Amino acid sequence: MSEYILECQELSKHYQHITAVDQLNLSIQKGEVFGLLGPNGAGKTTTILMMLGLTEPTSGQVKVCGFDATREPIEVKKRVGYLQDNVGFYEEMTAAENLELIAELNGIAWDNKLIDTVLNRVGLLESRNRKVGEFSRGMKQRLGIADLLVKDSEVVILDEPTLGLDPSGIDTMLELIEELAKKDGKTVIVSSHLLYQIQKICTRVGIFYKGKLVAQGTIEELQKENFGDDETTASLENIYKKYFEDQEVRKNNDDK
Amino acid sequence: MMTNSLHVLVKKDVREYFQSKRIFIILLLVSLVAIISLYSGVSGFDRSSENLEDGLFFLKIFSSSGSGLPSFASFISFLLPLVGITLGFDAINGEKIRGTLSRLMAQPVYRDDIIVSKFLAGMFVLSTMIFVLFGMVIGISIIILGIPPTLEEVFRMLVYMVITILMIGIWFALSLGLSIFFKQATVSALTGVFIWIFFMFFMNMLIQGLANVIYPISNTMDSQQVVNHQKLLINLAMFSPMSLYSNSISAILNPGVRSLGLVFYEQLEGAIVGKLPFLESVMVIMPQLLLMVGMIFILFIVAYLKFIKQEIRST
Repeated sequence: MSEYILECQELSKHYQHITAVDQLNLSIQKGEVFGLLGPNGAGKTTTILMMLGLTEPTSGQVKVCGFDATREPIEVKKRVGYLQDNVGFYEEMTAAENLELIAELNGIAWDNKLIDTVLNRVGLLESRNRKVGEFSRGMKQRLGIADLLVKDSEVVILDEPTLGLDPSGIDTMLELIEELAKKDGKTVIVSSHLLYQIQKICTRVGIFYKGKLVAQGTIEELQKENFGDDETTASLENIYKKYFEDQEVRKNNDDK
Repeated sequence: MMTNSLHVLVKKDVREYFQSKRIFIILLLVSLVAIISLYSGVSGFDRSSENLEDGLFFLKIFSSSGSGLPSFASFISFLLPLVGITLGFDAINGEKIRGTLSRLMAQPVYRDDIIVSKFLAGMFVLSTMIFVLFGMVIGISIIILGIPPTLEEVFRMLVYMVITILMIGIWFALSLGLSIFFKQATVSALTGVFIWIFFMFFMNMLIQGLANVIYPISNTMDSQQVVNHQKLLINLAMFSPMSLYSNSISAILNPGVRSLGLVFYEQLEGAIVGKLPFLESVMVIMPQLLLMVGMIFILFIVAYLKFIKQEIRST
């Protein structure tokens, strides 16, 4: 048994003309909050979809909780909660009904108390019986967190959870995500292109660029590696920029 | 046996159908048209003793037309394919656009369950609609005419309902498939309507044209060629859900119809004019019924295979 709850080995995904993910190796331990960082189109979402068995890798494999995501997607989906970007709910149903559906699909015996507790945690208890069609984006994202709480899985994966939210909405989301790790003891994988947000909650980050994982480690490690002990420039932002500049320079050299 | 997740999904899909406004709009439209055509049919109905004699007086309401309006049967055979298309055209791509499909797919459910539940839920909803519609029509007819249907008529009407459900089922399975092949709900809806228009108005011309090309009609053609020509027409019509439907309802509503194939004059010679018993009428339309069931399954299997192989991305 490996000590890692999630492992990607030599994972690649080619679409017709582009390589979305290229020879990715990644291991995540139980209890970590891992940040997948990178610009749009770096292959973060594709990687996440392969972790869930929603997309088949061209080569390589993903193991989640000991199960191969391609061969046993159902076992993986039982253990992983996923909040996609632009999460969609059944708009004609109420918030509670949407959660009940997720509970039933996961074979969880729900009662009103469970639904109320979960809705209370994400601050939507008073909107319990409102149709989701009336919800704001921030409320929908919080309902997405409620989905994860109802499912109560070992691992949760969040794809761009703060996208399109206002500053206070972002803070609430980040708090809720942190709670998932600290209070519920879940392993959290969160993708974003907004660094300063991820910086606050992640124990470790991986930086994606054009389908490759160009760096990974704790933020301190990455800082040391790139800037020595110079505290003034050592923000994740700068690390991030440096990696991309390196890549661009290398690419330009290749072209020449 | 249904798996747990299939059961949950069917429940959800049926509920979504009944919560949507479109189902009430269609039901309203169809019932309105049904009642108008029924009313004109009943009021123009010939109540002479000749019509009452054969004991199958009630069935004639469906096919009788009065005051220039088409009969109930032809009105609904025109409208109901649209019901099937309406129920299915955004079944899958709608969920994709709203982002709910990947939310479902992230749960421990088999892909099969998602598509099978769409199909079962749609068939359930349209069967319910047909039973409501026919129940209403039969009820109103009893009130106006004051004569209840006989037992045989009840059976025949039940078969009529089943045939109608099968016909809408073909269109529903088709538009369910289109909702998988096309990303935009508008495109799948339009394609569905185009296919409907084709079968409604152009299929017959195409069949005629083909038959004329293969067995040209001329003054010099021999009798065998005339037979071949007619046989080809009948066989090609089997590919059209419209003619399958209209042929089978004509046989089930009119017990005088003895065959839907080619009948020679010599074969009728000496035959006693009479009506077929209920089960014999069912035998006459059996090939049509089986073809309709087959069409539904073929369309559904194509949709199913496409859906199983498809990449699901949230954006």
